[in-house]
Amino acid sequence: MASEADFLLFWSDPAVLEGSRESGDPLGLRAWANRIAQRLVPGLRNGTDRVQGFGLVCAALVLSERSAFSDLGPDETFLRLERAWVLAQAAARQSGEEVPVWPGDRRAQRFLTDRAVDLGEPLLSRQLQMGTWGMYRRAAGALGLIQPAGLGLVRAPREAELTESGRVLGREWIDFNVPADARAALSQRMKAASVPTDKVIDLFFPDLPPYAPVADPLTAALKLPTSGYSELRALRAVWAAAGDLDIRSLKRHEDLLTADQAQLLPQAAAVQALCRRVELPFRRYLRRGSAAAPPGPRLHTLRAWSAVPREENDVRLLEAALRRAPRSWLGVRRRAIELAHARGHELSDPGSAPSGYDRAPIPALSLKAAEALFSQGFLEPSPQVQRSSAPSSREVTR
Amino acid sequence: MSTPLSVLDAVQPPHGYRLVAGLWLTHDLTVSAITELLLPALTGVNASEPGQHLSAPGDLAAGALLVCAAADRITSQGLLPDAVQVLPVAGRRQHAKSAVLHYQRTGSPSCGPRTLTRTLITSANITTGGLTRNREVVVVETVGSDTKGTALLPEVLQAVKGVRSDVPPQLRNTLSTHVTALRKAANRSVTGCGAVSHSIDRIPGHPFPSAFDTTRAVDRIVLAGPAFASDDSDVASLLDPLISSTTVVELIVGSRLTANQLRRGRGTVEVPTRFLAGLRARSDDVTVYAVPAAESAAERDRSLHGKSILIQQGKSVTQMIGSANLTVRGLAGRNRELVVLINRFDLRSIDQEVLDRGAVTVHAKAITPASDRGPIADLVDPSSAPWLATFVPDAGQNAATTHLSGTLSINCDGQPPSSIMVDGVRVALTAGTARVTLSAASIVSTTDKHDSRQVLVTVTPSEGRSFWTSIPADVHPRTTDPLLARLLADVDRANRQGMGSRAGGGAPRTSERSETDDGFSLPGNVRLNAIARYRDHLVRLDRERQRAVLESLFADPVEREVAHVILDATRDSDERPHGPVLTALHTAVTELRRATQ
Repeated sequence: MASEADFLLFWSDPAVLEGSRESGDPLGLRAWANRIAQRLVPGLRNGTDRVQGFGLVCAALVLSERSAFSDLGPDETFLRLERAWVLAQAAARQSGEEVPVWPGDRRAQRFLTDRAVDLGEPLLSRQLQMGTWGMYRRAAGALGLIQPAGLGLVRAPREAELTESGRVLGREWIDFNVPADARAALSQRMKAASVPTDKVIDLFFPDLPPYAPVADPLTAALKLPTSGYSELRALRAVWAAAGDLDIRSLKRHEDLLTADQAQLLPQAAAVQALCRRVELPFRRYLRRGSAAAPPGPRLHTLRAWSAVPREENDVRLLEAALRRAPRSWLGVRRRAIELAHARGHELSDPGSAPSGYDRAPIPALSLKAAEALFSQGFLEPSPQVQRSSAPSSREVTR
Repeated sequence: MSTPLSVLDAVQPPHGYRLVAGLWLTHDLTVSAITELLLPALTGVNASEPGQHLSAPGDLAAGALLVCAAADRITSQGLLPDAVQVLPVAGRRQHAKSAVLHYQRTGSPSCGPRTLTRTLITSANITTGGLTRNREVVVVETVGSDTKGTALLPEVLQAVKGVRSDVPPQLRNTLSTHVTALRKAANRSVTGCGAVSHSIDRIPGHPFPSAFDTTRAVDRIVLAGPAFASDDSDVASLLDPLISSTTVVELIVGSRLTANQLRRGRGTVEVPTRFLAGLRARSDDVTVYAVPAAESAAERDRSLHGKSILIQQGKSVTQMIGSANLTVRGLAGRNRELVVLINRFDLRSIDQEVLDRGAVTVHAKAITPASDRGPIADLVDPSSAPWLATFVPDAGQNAATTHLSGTLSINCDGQPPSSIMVDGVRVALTAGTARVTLSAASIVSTTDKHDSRQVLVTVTPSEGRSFWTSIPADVHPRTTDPLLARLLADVDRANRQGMGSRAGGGAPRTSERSETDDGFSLPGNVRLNAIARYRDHLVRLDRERQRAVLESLFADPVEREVAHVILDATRDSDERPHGPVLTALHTAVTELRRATQ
């Protein structure tokens, strides 16, 4: 007979499935919005809104090329650098600095209560996928900072290599964020099994503007002949003229956009409207089990809906069908089931969707991320700021 | 036992390790549960990122995970990646639920053994409910390559070999090779600990409960399991050595009621009454508890599916956990079952595990006999096993594609069927092979060989791992629209080679080349999609050039006609305000389907 001490023995709890895979995009509108976003704001995603994020990705790869980090390998180098960075930023915020929150902040706050930290301890259950790497890796590729080391995808740092632009950005990020006196100790601290918490915090300046030293190399990278250059430039021009990138602003300054972007504007407005008018009520229906509006049964006939990109006319067709429909969500639901099954999913019953399901935001189409990057100096040449030689904000605040 | 965990949590690769091979025994198998839940968990893929769960198979080698399931309990709707090989088990009912998962350390410098092997003995099936919702019981053992001593691992691997004689003949060597490879790759120095009992190769001489220490009086026995209808035979008699008149007996069953309903005494609870009568005939102190299906009506159904027998003898507590239900077929080992006997620390843990999870005492008036939910045959007829098929998708597609065109080959023992049904359309098979277009929703369902039979389709992409890992179109900065790039490359290659309008060298169509193989690397439906996507650009060309483009892209007259319809509808869209392209495309696709039937 075996002893309990030799095993993990448990009655199972419900699996917490990250995200809502069953009907996260019940009508296929989010996938459509993503396709529009990819053409309207090429390269960026809704979450890629910090120039420092791009820099962190490149800096880890720069470090992993150095012999001092060779025994860690690219993946572990990235993870440890990210942990140290997030810890330092969490500490800066605790001391009153208005630094942004980075993925893993909650666990970092807990670690800060200890006298020493182990940088081998994850900040997130799947730090690589859910953290900065997962968020920025594709955009970093699209902006010409990293490229596949082999033939496949770049799913982990070990599968990536820096472009020349990426290398410049990585070095600048280190110079900008790591105080000169901490650089020598960087590899030693990152590799140690246990590091005094204050020594980790001292590795970095707080993540505060101005970001020009990081934004400039990022801008320089985009000057490479990568796709998306002219689109992002056009958006930058609209932002400079209008102060924001709302769809209305884009329409007002349509002449500044590329032809493709201008052509996409009706679709962009339509998908946002459709999410507001159709998808959100439908989500409420799945969440609460009651219909707020009467869409209709004809939707299930629109099999071609998923085969072609949507245009304004198609949206009108959908809305017309919904308006004419009897008082039932059955048509929409059947359509959603079709889509879900096509993806191999099940679909929740009305009233059974998880909490928060009905609070999905209207698709931002990556425009907010572009706005944020522009406000940090991306695509705006500016004088170099030698932060490492300037009095550090850390010295001022602590 | 207090750690809150799901079955999926228990199979995730440990930090710094990746799964390289696995073996799983299950009764029920749902293909979508493998692709949607199990593979992402096994490979540690972030399934919340759109499309990423589809990329999970790309992390595993072909045939890395072998799944043995009861041949008549496989729900084959969906496409299996070639990382998974399913072995339908006929003969005595395969009801054991266990897994051996072998993880290898990745390049991380952190300390730890070179490999880890996890052995699971559980009550959970590979279904959505089993992996995510049900109340299942799980025992997990982790053995490192440097572990010494005894373990469950060798006993479970030895037990699995018992299904060999009842899997399809062409797959028997696959099973043997896989088990041997796992035994070699895992730690060979550990030996069995004698805790595992099974009936996989033969019906045991004694029922499973006889593995308990029957020489000492049992003070308390807690029996937990779903309220499956009991057999005509007296199940309680199999527990005879464990129950005396002074033994406190607690029977815990699942229910369909919510916690509120149970607490307020509303509704009835199904209990195997013959079993209950047997218990009451042996003990003076029998209490029935019911576990609610959910806290409230809005919550997900959390059926009690775990099977456990726990006894207290003085200060000693022992628990039997595994696949065997509280039925004669289960406890006597008529089914293929696998259980493990474990010494527990104390009885308090039982109360925490089950009773504190909302179990409510069921009074006699609330008990209703468990209804027979349909007989499940003791023996599984081999002819109820699905046909096995291999599907090789055409180049230029990836796992994220909604519909996949390619070649399907039935791999059956003996004469293959003459035709199969695909999405409601009969497709003729030539020597067991056909060109088809599949989707996860409309997968091959039946054949007309003697009777209807499911077809279990494994995707074996000719492009290997990239079929999965190329989704979604990723970081390469030069990638703009892969579909258009590929289409233009086809046309460009044809032009450069001066081979006329056909791409791919303009090879003539022959009887060997199917009707959908016209030399393009992209299949016709994907090219139509490209036409639909770029129709606004195409209609700006003059009519002659439009015709030339379409003729260069579509040799098949029906496809060419569909493309013309798309362009005509686009051109006339000003006059037809309500989505003419969608309407036209839908009509055209319908016509195309009808024409090709």
